[in-house]
Amino acid sequence: MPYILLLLLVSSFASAQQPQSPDAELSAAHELMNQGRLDDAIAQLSALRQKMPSRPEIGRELGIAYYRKGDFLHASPLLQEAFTRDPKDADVAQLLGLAYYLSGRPADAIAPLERLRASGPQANIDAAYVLSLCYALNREFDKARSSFASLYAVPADSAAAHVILAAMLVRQGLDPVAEQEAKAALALNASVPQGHFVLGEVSFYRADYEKALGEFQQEIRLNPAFAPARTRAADAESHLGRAVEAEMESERSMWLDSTTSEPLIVLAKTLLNQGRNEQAERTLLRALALDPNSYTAHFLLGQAYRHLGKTELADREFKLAAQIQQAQTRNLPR
Amino acid sequence: MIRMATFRAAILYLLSLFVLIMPAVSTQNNAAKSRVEFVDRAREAGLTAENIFGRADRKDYIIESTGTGVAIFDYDNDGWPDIFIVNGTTLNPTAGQQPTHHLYHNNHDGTFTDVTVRAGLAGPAGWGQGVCVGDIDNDGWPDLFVTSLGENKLYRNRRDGTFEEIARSAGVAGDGAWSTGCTFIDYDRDGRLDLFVATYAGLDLKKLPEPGSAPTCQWKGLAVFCGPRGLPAGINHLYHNRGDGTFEEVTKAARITQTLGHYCFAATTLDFDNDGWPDIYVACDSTPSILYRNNHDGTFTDVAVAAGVAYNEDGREQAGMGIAVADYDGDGWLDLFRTNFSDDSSTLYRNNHDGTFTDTSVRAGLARNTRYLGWGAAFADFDNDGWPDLVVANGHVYPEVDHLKLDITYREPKLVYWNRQGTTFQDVSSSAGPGITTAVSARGLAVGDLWNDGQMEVVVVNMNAAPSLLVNRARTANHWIGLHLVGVVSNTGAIGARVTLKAGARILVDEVRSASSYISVNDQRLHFGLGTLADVSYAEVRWSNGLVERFHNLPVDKISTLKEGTGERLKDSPQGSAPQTK
Repeated sequence: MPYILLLLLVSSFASAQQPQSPDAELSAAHELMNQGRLDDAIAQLSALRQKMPSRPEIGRELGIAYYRKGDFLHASPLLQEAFTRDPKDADVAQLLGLAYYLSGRPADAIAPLERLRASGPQANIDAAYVLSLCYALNREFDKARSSFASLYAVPADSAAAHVILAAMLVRQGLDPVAEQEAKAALALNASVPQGHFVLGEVSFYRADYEKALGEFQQEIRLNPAFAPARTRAADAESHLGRAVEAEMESERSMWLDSTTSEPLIVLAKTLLNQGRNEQAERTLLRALALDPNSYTAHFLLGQAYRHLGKTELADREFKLAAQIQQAQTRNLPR
Repeated sequence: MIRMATFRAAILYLLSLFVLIMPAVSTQNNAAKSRVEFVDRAREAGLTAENIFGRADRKDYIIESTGTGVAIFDYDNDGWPDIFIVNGTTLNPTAGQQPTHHLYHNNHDGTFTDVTVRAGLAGPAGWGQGVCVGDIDNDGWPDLFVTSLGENKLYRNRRDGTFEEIARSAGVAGDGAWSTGCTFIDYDRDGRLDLFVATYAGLDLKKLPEPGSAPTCQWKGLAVFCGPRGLPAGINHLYHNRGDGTFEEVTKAARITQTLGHYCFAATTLDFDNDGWPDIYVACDSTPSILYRNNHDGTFTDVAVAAGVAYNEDGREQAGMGIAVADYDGDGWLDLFRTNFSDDSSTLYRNNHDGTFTDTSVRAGLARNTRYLGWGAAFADFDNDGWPDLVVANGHVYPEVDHLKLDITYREPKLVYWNRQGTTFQDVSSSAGPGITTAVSARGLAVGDLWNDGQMEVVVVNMNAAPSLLVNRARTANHWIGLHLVGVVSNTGAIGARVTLKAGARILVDEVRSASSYISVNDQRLHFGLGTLADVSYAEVRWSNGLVERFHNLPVDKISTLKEGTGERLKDSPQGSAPQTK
């Protein structure tokens, strides 16, 4: 037994001393990547790349390794080099487009993602979504609308296409353009679903609650079973201090859709503002049963407990609210 | 004829009625309309030194974006407020041409003279940040503390127009962290000013993360500088004044470290629960703001969440920058205002008189102008109508926004909100003159009665530009009173003293603060507009040691000095009247 062990040690020492072929080293780096040992793979590939600058595929692999590590700043020049060399390499095109997008360079992301899209209908749907977003972020709004329209299978010049783009722009914080798009949608079709809803969101975003409420109410007139419009109308009423209206609209929303915590939270806020703390407590417990990770619900429940003199419970809820919010926002942009 | 005579009599009667009614109507009209107007006279007044704070055209790293504070204080005790402006630097400063802070002496004629060199303040500013003013040795001469990314500086006033830097020997130079806001506070009421220093984030200038290198380094899809999220949070510090020219760090003992994980900017003091002990409020960026309640035993507890001033009304953390404190609704309790990042409104917290606050931003008319990014802010009664108005300095942190065409720009106008008798605020910015409407990227802001005429002026630090001196052109017949408090047993600058002014049916309340706004210092003399009231019943002062005195026969339209121990004594201080260490 000791003899066999010695033999194994000697052979492994011999193999360690023997120079590996570049292909074998590349395979070994691949293996490291597959094992999730990305730093080791990057170190090995970097050394190999220096040793063999004439082998461009090493740079490609290194770019992929950086991408998988989430280091998009280092990934993008390597992937760009590989993409320039072989624009038909769909994997590289996709990773390069995403690396540029994820490092805040939407303009640079467009070329590889367009190339990917041109490669055929099998192209990754996430990449198509990111390409649409990149058009929007790069202020190419017509292209963005057309691209989103294709993704959602609606005509590019339709009111629906304008609404889809408007909704996407609100999410990106590009509210002045979202407003234009929503208005364009309503000009094409005055009763297009969610046109007024998006305008309401834009006004809400600007803290113009009166205007937001007007838009949500117009949406409700067109689309009375659309629960989110009722929730947002209730929230606007609540901000405007109109407790009765807020309460009524949030309940209407709840009855339409009992799967979301949002109308319950708005209702609870209204109840708290009226000093109806026990009702608020019950409502918030229902909200938390639907969404235990709502920091707003925990925060408001803490307030309800505080008003009810349940100090320890209040402190617990405030702590939970802080922890959840911190976890949810830690890696978010401002 | 009879009919004509009757007609004339009627006309005369109506005219006499008109004459009689006019003053009342006129007063009402005056009360219902803002006459606030500002013009920028910085250049003419001699405030010309440019602020240097990183690159002007782009900000690749967060340290280049936050800017500096300004202090309005009377460094030479000549009775006229002077101006101190903190300066910064760049990541690659040219040797021999490093920026300095600037001290401007008030010439009493509408102009200032740069006396930085003469005052011994001409050294390299480094990454200067905020400023607070307090008389650390109770010699009657105000001293300056300047925060920095790096060593903080304590400039002791040598009583001859010059300063000496003593931070290291005094034990307040800090640990090289990124200090931002600061405030002197006599937290244990021993008559000596202690020091609170807020900290932003851990930042190693040798390992600065690149724009776009993480999700926290993007904004609206653009690669921008990283932070504050993703950076290590800062630890705030408290230093106790030993009374021998040195301070002892008591951060841990005072339980300041029980609150961690914040990126803190401005700090100020207020006795929010009116228990006679000063508390500390700290505006924090992208994390909950902090309210350190004074436990009366040398320790503090962060009660911001339970008190309702950590978040907005939905429990969402905001990116707090600057703070203003005033009794905006005239109920005798101090309220809080905090500026925040863009795509959000500033927050007004109304004091509920029970240790808690309610977010009244929407009801008060301040939940607006969400496209602006707010920094310095101050309450001041600009038209002396008896109700504190609000001025806010704005400016974005990303010069890149200018390319977005999104109704957001790097340079932004300031905002003036006119207080409608404590009910709501009216945004009068667009009619408040070019001093307000001109777009700049502003940071620190301080208000003060620069020429002792009852008109509150505004000084603003602008990023990579000369400062603004906003001269108040509101001309009204309204009365006012200024109060310069001088402590004898309590600290000489009377920091922490609370004044309750009785005028007609009104009670007006304010406190003397070492710092507020965005890492800045307002004129520490208290200013109250009185409207049409031509006299005040009394000013009641609760000095920081607990002594309560009432001062009578105070003239209006003047600044009066109230010296501790010379008023009508209403309540002794619990500590007795042992003189402070000089």
